[in-house]
Amino acid sequence: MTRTTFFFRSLATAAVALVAAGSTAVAQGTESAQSFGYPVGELSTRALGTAGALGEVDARSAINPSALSLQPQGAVFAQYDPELRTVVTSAGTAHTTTARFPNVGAVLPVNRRLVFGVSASTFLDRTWETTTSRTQTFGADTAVSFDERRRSDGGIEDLRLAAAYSLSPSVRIGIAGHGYTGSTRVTASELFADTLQYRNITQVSNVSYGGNAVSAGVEVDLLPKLNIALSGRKGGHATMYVNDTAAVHGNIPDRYSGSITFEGIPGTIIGARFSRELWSQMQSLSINNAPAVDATDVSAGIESAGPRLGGFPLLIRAGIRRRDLPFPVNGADVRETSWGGGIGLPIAYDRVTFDLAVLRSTRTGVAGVDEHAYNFSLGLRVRP
Amino acid sequence: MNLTDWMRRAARRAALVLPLAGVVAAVGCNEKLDGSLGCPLTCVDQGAQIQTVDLDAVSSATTVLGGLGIGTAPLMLLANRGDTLDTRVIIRFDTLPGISAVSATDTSTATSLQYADSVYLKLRLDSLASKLGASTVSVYDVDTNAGDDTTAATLAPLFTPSRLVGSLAVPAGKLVDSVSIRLPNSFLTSKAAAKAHVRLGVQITAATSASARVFATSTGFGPSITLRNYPDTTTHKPITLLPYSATPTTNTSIANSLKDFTIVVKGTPPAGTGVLAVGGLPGTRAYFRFNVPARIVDSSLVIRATLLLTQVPSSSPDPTDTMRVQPYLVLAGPPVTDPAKAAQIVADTGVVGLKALRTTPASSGVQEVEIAPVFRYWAVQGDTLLPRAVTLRSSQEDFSPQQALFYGPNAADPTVRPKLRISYTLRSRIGLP
Repeated sequence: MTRTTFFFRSLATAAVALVAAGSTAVAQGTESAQSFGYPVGELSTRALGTAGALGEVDARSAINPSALSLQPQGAVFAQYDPELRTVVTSAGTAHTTTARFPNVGAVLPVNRRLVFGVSASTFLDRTWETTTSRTQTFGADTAVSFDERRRSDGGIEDLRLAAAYSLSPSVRIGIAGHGYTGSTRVTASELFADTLQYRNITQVSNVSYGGNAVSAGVEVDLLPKLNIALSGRKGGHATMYVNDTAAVHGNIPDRYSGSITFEGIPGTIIGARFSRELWSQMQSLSINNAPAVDATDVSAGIESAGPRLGGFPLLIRAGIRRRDLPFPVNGADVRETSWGGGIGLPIAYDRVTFDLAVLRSTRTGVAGVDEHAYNFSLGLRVRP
Repeated sequence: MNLTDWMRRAARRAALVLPLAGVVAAVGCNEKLDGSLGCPLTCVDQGAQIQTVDLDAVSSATTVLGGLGIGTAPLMLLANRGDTLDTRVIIRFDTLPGISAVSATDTSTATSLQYADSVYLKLRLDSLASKLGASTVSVYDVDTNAGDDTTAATLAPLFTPSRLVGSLAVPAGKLVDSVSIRLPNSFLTSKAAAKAHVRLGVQITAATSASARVFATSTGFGPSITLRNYPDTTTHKPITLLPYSATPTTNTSIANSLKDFTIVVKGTPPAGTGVLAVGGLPGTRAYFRFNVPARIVDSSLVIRATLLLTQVPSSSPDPTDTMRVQPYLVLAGPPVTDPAKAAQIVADTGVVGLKALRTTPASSGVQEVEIAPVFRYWAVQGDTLLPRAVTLRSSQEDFSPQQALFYGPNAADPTVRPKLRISYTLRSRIGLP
């Protein structure tokens, strides 16, 4: 069996599995959105199509700034990433839908060697809502039932300004400055059925963030078809503001990562990526000193040219990923396993690329909780 | 490109684009965030810490006279209940028609009221609140220049047989929504000739007891006099006189209120020492000042606040009928030091959202008055602007004799003094990362 045959057979198997899983999907939940929220990953739709494996060498992913100079062509891009999540517990099954617009930016080449890039991507998404029932004694009323509703909407954004430079045809470097901003509106309500005797109360906290970091990366073509990419981020100080008052000072977590890609098969890129993000450094930013653990992210994927459309190839992608999520649930670490694929559809003589990715994610670690999600990503890149 | 190639290419593109459009349409932008069923296993968010405390927070309380002034109640109580209650209604018609026929035979027009026929005083009654057995409604001429002509002390002695103008016997067992009392024709013409005021006093009498509520002018259904000022019944229709008060000349607002009003000849007895009275006749209110810890008012969210009052049975009429005691948020600032005046300056209950206490005059024991909504206002305005005060008043103030009595903060027995029970949670950063 050739590698190409193996790839297409695997892809077909994955597609069948995807359809089968979709027809029996039963759950979605909040195991993944603890503390500061869910780390979206700052990956483009293209990179998500390979489960993150090509994130290190993708100009639209805010990971490695040197990737900007891989294809020094001006472009603007944006993506929409809805997540359909299911959580199954003994209490029942909860289905949620979270809409995200996690990545927008532009690639701005100055010449064939120097490229600038600007992007805004979601670093952590803290969007969820829960309503739980509670009973308490109020004076002579011994069993008063009421609902406690908690809602969080927002997250932390990463604003990146990056520059990449080709030292030679086989070596590229990049550097970026990151500004972390964003806000979360947290609403806590106690809701009573008998509003004549009991007053519903609502507390709203507007949480905003300020922080910074720098990142740098390098890409080297070790062999004509073998590329290695390394990058790292050094987190700076961060501050959490509650209702415009500085509440906690902490740090943006450091990260180091690397990937290796092989382009020995014509029209095909095979890659693997490793990333380690030191989320524990962010624990100091928590007002409750909520625990955070360092997380490893490992992924492998492939992108291959498929049938041609209008003279340009349709790109087909697939990948698998396993990573730790940074925020434990009641002391239990959470791991996420994702697999899926995607396509890249050239439009208007390849001046416009429409990307689609679908990942099936399973999150484990909390006994009694079964969490799955479909992460869709719809991306658009336009080149002038 | 031939047609077959073109169709094949179009079909291939459609096969790619349509699923994508389907995904976009299926997922859409509508968020559904409620993941409650993942709790409690995945919910580490803390619940609100709700505490309940009983405080001796009533710093002072007093009984004050209610109402916005004489003649401002929408209903006027006409009652005669033996030794316990006697109220009467005064109606002023200080202006009379300026034209009429000269006489029954001379139909030319005179420049004053010289001819009157079919004169009736019509009173509209709240039929649901009437308690009329076999009774008599009598109308007296109570026009006088002596003393304060708005008080019972001046007016009650004028209800004498010599001043009786007319009367109507109301049979027992009849649901009455209005009464029309025939007045002598000459009563009005003689008043017009003398340029005197038509001021009528209405009294009800019965073998046992009787009471009725008369709609006041301010409701639009007030008393009126109908008469004919011309003898012919084809070209001249009957005319209607509405109440009007010409005095006091210096204050039209008060004069407007004095078009019709109630005088209390015998009212409910005052509350005893250490006891607060709500309702009764004349209507009274209980005015409470609170001393609530700033920690609760300023830094907490109040879920429930209950004013615990110990009720004392009252001997007021209708002791087993339900009455509503309505709490009001007092808006009067510190410059208003008189509790009677401060108790008049209150917020609309519909805006604040305060619920009335339903009780009966004969009830006893602890009653709960919910006042949690006032904390929302207290929290945003300091006590230097908005004193922590609440007043209780009867929802039928000034037209119901029912009275609720409660022990005040000066009651001899500390266990029956008012208390404030508050369930609250301190403002906290719930749900933050």
